[in-house]
Amino acid sequence: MSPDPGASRRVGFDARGLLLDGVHVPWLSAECHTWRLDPDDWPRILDTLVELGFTAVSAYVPWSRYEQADGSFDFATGSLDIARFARLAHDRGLVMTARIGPNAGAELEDSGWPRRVLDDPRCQALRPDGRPYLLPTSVHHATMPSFGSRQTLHEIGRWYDAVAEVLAPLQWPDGPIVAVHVDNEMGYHFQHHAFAMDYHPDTLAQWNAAHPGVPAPRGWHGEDEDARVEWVRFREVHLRESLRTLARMQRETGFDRVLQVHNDYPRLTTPIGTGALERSGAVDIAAGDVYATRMGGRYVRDYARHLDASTTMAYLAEAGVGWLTLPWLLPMEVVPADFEHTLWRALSGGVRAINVFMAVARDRWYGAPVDATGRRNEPLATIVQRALALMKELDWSSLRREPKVLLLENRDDQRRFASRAVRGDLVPPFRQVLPIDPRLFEGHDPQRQAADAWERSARAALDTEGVDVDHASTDCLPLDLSRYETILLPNIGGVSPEVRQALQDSGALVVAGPVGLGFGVAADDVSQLIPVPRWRREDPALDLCALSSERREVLVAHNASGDAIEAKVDTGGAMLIGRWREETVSDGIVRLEPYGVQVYEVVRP
Amino acid sequence: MIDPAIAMHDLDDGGWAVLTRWAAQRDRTPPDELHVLHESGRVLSAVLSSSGPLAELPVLGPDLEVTARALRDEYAVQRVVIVDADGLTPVLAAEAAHGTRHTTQPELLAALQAAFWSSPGVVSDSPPPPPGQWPVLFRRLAHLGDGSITLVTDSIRLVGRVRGGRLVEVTTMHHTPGDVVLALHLTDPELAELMHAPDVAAALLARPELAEHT
Repeated sequence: MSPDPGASRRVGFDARGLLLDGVHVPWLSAECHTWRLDPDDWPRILDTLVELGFTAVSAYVPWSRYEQADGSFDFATGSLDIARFARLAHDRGLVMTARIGPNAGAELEDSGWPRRVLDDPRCQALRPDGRPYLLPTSVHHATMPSFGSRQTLHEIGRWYDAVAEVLAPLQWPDGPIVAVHVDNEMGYHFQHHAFAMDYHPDTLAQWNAAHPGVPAPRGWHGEDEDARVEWVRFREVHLRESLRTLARMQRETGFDRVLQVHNDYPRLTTPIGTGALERSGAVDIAAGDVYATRMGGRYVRDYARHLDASTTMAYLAEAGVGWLTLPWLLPMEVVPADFEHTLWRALSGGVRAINVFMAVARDRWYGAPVDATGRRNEPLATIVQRALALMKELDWSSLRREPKVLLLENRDDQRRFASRAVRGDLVPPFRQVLPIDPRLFEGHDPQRQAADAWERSARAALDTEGVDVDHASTDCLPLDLSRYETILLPNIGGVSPEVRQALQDSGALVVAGPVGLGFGVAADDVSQLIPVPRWRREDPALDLCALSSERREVLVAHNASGDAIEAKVDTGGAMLIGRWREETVSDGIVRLEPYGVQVYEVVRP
Repeated sequence: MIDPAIAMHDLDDGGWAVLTRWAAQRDRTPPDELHVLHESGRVLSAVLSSSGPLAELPVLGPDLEVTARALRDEYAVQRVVIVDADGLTPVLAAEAAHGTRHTTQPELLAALQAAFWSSPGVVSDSPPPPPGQWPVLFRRLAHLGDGSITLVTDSIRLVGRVRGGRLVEVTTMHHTPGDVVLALHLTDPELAELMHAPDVAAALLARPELAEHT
């Protein structure tokens, strides 16, 4: 990666978003699965996406759909002609992200991997007892690959060579491609248990090289806790280094003029480390995915805050609209109001670039704003169109939050908790697999319960007081800690000396619990220790988030409850002009429907 | 059985949302149970499905069935499941046998559940739930032959296509197909009740539309 991608390449990015030849371009992307659509409909689909205000498209290029039975590749026939799709997008002024895997997910029964690779024992990720790791995919199951395996990497290299031959010539400015994804949600195949995998001999060779004479812990009893914690740390590093390897392979095949992006599913604990991944330089952008209903709006906001505090430009590589059609596995009811609520949650939490997933309807998905032939699907299409228009009008990527509180995830404690997990040979991939609670395999850890309880209490206090807060991990502290007045840290005692020193030097009031740090404050109740918010309101269900630039001040209001709100807000005499819904608030009374949302422009006298 | 290559497309968003609402409600209300994991009597962890991990681990007596009964009373739950991690060999064997590309996902999951409950490492009080009737239901559907299955409620109009005993397509029904082998007409509340039944497959089998095909 370039240390300054915004300056050294024609395609770059900075805190405000995508840069093409140094010019900011709103990165408002639409996910479109070309191979699932009639290629005759592609032009109309792209026209509709442009009409809705999208500036970009994103498309998986699933390996398993392009590799033929004889091992050759078909990039030419019908819906497989991805270069034609790219040229059609380019003709319409859209830029494009190519998601070339190797992992796709995408509700594919093989997750986008050729079966011959999944069935090859040399490629399979292994349980601690040596069995392959079997994962139920959307509608089937597969023995998933090991990224430590040299054979897996060899196969991926062959795929990257093939896909680069077709798509690398279409990198911007010769074509629309401004970014490629480096794998998709690489997190040990949705399994966070520290000892569930990967015990592939090639992965173990990496462990042995770094830890000579120390057997790889397997989650059995009697193992040294320090070694177990080190294994948890190794798994985090293994993820990052695997992504670095894939990114290098992509560049070597010719994808050397575009941004390289990895997207994680929304998890903030080990082995995932979104901020640390980006700061390591393994990829250019560490992005996130989020799917939620309006009832989960605060969760979306908190995840966006984490991306905002931990990465250069908070990018939601999958901003969920609709959901997969698998009610027997992962049922979720979504309606248009969910997207309206959660999109503005994400944006008010600091997200500056989005890829709407799925923007175009397809197999095994419902609730997209554009149907599979390119027709608008109302009312969603209008909601999306209005949102994208308002983002451009308000120059959204120029707006900044100014939180005075930082809530840290204690990665050292998390590693120790994770190291106490048991029986990784048995832990199921999903709870539907066995009729027992998967939390059984997290082991018995009362300290973890105490730390979790403290964090829940701190979050509740912040919500009750209506305080905007940054989220980050001790693994990737925000670069400037001096901008915070208060830093909150759940702590059982595992904070590293470097982090302790950084917190001590920050100048902020450091509040740790349930066990203190020896400096700052140890507190059970943080409500008296957090600063008074700039926008006070009388109803704790009314969430307000302020963003501003040199040119404007914006206040996003969300109703976090299922009851209508009519609440007094201390506006300091300012007038609030509704931009999402037309209204003017001059008396400080904010009215919102259940789970309603409003975007105000603040006009001061 | 659900075909791994099943096509699910052109679904009416509103109708599908209603269907998934009931599925999600079912998904979010697991039975009130206490689960205990141990290795040869040494308890590793215990979780209440309603509230999460226990801070204090229960002690297991020599007779696990007696212990399960006592824990069920102590924690006032519907079921206590005590699992010896070293005694789950049948589950591993089932995974090896059924985790192949030739087995459908429902077949795999059913085999794992059955192997779990029959495992010598599992003690349960109350007794394990009866095996789901999904295999029976799918056999019944297969017996109907290839064709379309329609589901019409107040909010939903769906058609599923069955080929060789496998469900290969689900889509919105715009007009009644000519090859209907089974038509289900329900009210929304009837479908909701059906989806909240302890065994959805058994509830479906009890429907007169299916019973007449016995």
